[in-house]
Amino acid sequence: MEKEISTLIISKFPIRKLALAGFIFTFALAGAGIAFAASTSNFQQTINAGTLSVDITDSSYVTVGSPSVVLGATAFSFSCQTTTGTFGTASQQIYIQNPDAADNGFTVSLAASSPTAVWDSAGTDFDFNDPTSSGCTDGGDADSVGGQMTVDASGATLSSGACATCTTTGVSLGSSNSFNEGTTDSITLVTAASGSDDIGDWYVRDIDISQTIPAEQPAASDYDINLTLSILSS
Amino acid sequence: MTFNFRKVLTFSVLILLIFPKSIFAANFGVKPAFPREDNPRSESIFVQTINPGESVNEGVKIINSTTETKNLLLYARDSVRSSGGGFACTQLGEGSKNVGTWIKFDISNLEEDIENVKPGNLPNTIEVNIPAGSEIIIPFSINVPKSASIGEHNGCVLIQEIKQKTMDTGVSLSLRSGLRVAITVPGKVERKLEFVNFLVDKKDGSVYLRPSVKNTGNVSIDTNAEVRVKYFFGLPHKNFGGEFPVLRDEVYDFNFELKKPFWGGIYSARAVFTYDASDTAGIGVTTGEKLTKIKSDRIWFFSTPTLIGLIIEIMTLLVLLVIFAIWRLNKKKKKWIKKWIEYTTTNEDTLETISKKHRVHWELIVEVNKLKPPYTIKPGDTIKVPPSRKK
Repeated sequence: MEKEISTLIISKFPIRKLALAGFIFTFALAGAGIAFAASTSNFQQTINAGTLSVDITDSSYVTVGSPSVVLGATAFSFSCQTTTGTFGTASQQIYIQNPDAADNGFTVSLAASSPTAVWDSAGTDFDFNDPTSSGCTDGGDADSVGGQMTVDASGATLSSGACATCTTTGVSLGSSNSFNEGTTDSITLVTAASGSDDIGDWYVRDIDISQTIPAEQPAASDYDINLTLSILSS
Repeated sequence: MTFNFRKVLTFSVLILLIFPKSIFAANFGVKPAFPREDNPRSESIFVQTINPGESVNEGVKIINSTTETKNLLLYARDSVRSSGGGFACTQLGEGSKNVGTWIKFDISNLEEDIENVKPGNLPNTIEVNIPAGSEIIIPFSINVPKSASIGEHNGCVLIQEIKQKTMDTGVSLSLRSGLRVAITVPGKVERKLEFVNFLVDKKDGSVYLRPSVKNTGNVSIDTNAEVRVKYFFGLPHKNFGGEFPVLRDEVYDFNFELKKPFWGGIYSARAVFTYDASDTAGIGVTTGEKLTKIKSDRIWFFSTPTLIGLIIEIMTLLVLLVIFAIWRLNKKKKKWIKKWIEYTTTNEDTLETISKKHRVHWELIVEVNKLKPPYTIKPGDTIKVPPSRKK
């Protein structure tokens, strides 16, 4: 009789459901970061340390292989003129990651590969950091060409990225500044204070860039300049 | 016993949704290899105190957490002021004159696969071919010259991906990340900040609050900058701030954006900078002994409201005006009614004839005299009517 009862209990007991519930429960505990000592299995997981970094990504945070900053095309002019563009778009956003690597803040800045760099072409070059006549003429710097680039991060969009719990508290955008050889060789785009998220990610879009082009600058389609986007733990 | 794997899979996905994880894109970069236990800041930057003519050994850990091998260039450079006073470093193409020249990488005794690490084409640069998901420590020494002045000197250790130059036109963009190298030459330390100014700029509806301070000492100062914005009547509206390093001899221009306030109006703002002025304080070392505060004057500014805020404000104002007008009319009416005189009705009087005779609406006579429907008036009744108007 006793054996019959135990057999009945076993046959009625929902073993499959219980096993399934146990599996889910274990999985849920692992997801919640709770661990129990196990005598038979030894699962190992290593999470490598990340580093402070800046990248150009698409809106899904996938690195863009050859990022570009496009300034509007202009026509030849007998007057000094200005062309504008946007640095950081939905498809090429500036993506900042701080995976607990810079607890006391960081700076993201933009600079040319050298203060003596110019917009280079096979023909006549023009400058990016000559403030003379607001960039319209050549001044007393090392080169003999005029032109000035202005970067305005103040109206840009700064948002937290993939991290759902991160905020932009303590992270601020830079102000509008123009390159000026020897005086302003680097322009701040983003500054993070020590109070910003130690583990966080952010993206920046819509930084305004304008470039003054001197009068009678020859028409050419091969003007190029090298800029460096730096992120520095400070 | 067989499992229903479809159910298991469904529940697994649900569990993953219940416990979401932040997913970070892979990256590469550098960290201090040997952070000191006595200074938490050394986990993020290099912090050293070195006497003139002496050297200290350090190490930088290069981490490649991407899924591909990276060809990186490691180098040291001087620090340079970025716009606004932010910390930046000179470029690879520029030479170094100060701390950049004090740092010497040494790969002669490297235990790692030496084929992946070799001197770069430029002086004191190291090319590192680092496999996916790996890290490597490159030792270096900081050699402070005998002529180094007392105080703090800053430089950088940087990593940059080596890329073949493309023939693209326009802006070619290179990315790099780096660490500040802060070296203090011991001696009489001066820690002092001075308030410079507090500017308020407006652009696209936002208000930019821009206080500035100057470090007149000989070491950097980690200052807690705070901008407190208040409503016209003194209630707090918003606070901005955080702790920022102000480098020696530099002016730091802070830039806090106050988004267009919903209601607009007149606001005030004051900047407060707090720092440890004790000469025993330093980077990552606070004593709390000589906590110093410098404050700006309170500045006032006006901000236009948002469109919805403006519409609500106009409608509220109109409603208030209507209420006020009704109140004033009512008050005037009550004052006038107090001047009404008593009148004894005759046989010819009806409510209509009385209202016409005294030039007042019959309903007002009913209201003042509290007459009940059907508002009949009997001869000899005494009611109140307006006094006769002078012609």
